[in-house]
Amino acid sequence: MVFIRDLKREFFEFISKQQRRLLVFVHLDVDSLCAWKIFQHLLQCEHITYTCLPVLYKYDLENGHMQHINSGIKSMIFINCGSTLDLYDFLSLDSIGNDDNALTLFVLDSLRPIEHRNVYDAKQIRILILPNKIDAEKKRVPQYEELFHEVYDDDNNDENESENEDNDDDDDDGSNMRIESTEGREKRLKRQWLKKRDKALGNYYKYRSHSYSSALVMFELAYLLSKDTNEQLWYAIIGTHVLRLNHHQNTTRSITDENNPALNTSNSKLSMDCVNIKFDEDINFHLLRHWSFYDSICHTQDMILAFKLWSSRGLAQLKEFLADLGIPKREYEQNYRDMNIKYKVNIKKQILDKRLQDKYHYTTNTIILPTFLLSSGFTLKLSPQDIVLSIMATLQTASSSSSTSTSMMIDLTERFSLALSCLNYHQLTDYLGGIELEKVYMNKTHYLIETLLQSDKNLSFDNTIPFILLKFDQNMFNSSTTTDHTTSCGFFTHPYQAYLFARNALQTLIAYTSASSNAVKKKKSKHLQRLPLILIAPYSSTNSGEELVEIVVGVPSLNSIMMNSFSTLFEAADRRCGNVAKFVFFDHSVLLLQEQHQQKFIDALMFVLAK
Amino acid sequence: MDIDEVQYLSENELISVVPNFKHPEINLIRGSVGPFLPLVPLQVPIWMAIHLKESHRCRFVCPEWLTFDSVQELLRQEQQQETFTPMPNPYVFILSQTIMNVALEDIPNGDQIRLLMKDLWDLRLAKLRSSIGNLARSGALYAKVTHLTQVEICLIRNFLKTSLKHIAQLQDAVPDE
Repeated sequence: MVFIRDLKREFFEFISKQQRRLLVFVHLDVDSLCAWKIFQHLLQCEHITYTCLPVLYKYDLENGHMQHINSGIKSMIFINCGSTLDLYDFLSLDSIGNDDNALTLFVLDSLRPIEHRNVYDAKQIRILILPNKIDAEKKRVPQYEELFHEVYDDDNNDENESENEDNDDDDDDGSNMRIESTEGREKRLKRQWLKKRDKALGNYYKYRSHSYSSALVMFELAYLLSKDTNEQLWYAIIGTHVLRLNHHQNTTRSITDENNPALNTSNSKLSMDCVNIKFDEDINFHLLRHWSFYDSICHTQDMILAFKLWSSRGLAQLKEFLADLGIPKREYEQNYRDMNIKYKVNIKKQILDKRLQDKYHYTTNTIILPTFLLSSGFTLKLSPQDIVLSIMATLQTASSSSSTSTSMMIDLTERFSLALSCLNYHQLTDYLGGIELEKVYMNKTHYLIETLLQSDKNLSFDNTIPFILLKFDQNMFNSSTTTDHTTSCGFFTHPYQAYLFARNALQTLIAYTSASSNAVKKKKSKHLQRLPLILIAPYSSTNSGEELVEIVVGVPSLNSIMMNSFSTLFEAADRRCGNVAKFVFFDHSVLLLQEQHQQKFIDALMFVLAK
Repeated sequence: MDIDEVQYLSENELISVVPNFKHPEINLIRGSVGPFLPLVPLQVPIWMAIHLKESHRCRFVCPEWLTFDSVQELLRQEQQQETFTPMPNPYVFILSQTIMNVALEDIPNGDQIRLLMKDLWDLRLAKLRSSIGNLARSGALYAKVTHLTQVEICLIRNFLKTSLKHIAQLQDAVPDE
């Protein structure tokens, strides 16, 4: 069966019995890093050798495969990449190979929908999922009978014609009329079946989403092998927090259900030097423990929306709010960790106070979040949100040295190993470095969004266009406060980062227009709430500096944020304008485009969306 | 004998572990160990227990002499008596260090036990020093000490050898009166 039921036997023992080196492709995002850490620990326990390749683009997969194809590798593992590709075609695997050379591919991916051809090929591809979710997964993919038919299958048309003729063996008496009607009937049935199949496929592929985290699946494997320790649990926790942070999923219930047997309940007896993970309700301000309280609130997206912090009136209201909480100015402007403890103790209670909630119109379900905290000895308490942000910032920041294509691969491995070391909770230097990067990035983002709101020139929306178009060009980045971390092109370097930025921009824009006193703008905001946002920004330039490559991200409208149908929409638009877009990322709702084709693509997209 | 040798020898003691895998009996030179059944505690030598723990195949069961209460009791007795009290195991200090390095999670109140162990160690060492001083001053030819652990013996062995030798040489050099 393609979906692995028993992670331990069919996956891990299969690999360890092979006694060969493993090839692992790890996508460059936080969830896959956590899953990789857990998996690496398991491999080391069993002394299995492996080669790990970080990938960000599709061609990285191909290159890696080409490089290692002759080194006697029998199993390949894909973490958070490859389930949306038709792996057979993509890697040009020989499906009728000898049994000796048979490669087995294991795919562990949180992106859905899985490519249907991957699911229905039981020979070489296996898909790793949580064992108790197998039935849900199977139900989601359309049935085999709907998609494949020996006679009607689309691929070889000529063969079908000849097979149709063979079917006439039964009607031997053959008056022409009878043969014709049989043929006609066959063709009609075939058309009907094809139409049904296309509809099923269309429905299946319409919405792209993320399901549970890959790190959770890896932790499940570790648990089955009885090698789950607090460390692995921590990595799994971070992995699930990624999903919550980036993709609005409420995963806390699933975490607590699955972790209750694993968490140590008698925490009081545990020695202080051990890794101690506690479940707690925590205040969710951005990087709370690394900034002053004031800065932290100013950069939390929810508080920005609630207090409208782009305006000076909003800032004044925030100060009033802090006064209501009872914290003096001197306290909230110094580092949170140095704040007087009597204020810290009361903050949570005060924020939950109903009276303040009504006065300032904020909701607490995103501020007070149940989460986990790691404390080990006398070091900093670590919270998963901060770690996720720190790792994302590290992954985004390209090293400032060079930009040639040969060093892209080296750049990836550098970013990968730096981000992996951020996960280490003993040595906190890289983690703290990542936090600093995140602060810089946050400041930049805010500056960009604020300039965006003040001048409408980069935005265009009106009643004819079915989406909000947000265009950045290079000048925007030059004028902001730059440090030597980012050049003018290098701001958007990662697909998820661009997606998050676009989503935040959309939220801020809608809040801004709905709160503004201008009546025209207010009317617009109602219209805006139903529109999705498309962000186009410079990504990188080729060596000559003339051709600019841009990154295009689509964010669905706020009303239906969970249903991202942009992957299919972009593909359709691309087909219309002659295949100019480059789908280099695994997630098709983010793509790269050359500047000269920009207008063409936008026109095609408008046409597709208008339908 | 060095401290390293003492450590090596100490790992031969038996300790109780709870494995999470299944394996038939293993026949070693000193005796046989096993069979291993998941969740069934059994006695293994400490070197094997450390190896199993580091590959995440077992869990330690805290030995009785390493619980908080028993260590506290030991400390109290040591504080009351002037001579050395018997130790439950000839390798107490080294073993407690080794076990806590590897399996801190399995020992409840591990950090407090560490503190108590340190107190115990300091106390015994102080007693040792004063008794050596008495020995040197009294000029006796031999002294009898009981209930010392191997590590402590190891510590003072070299020192006592050379210092007593020097004292004897000096005494010989002084003309008899």
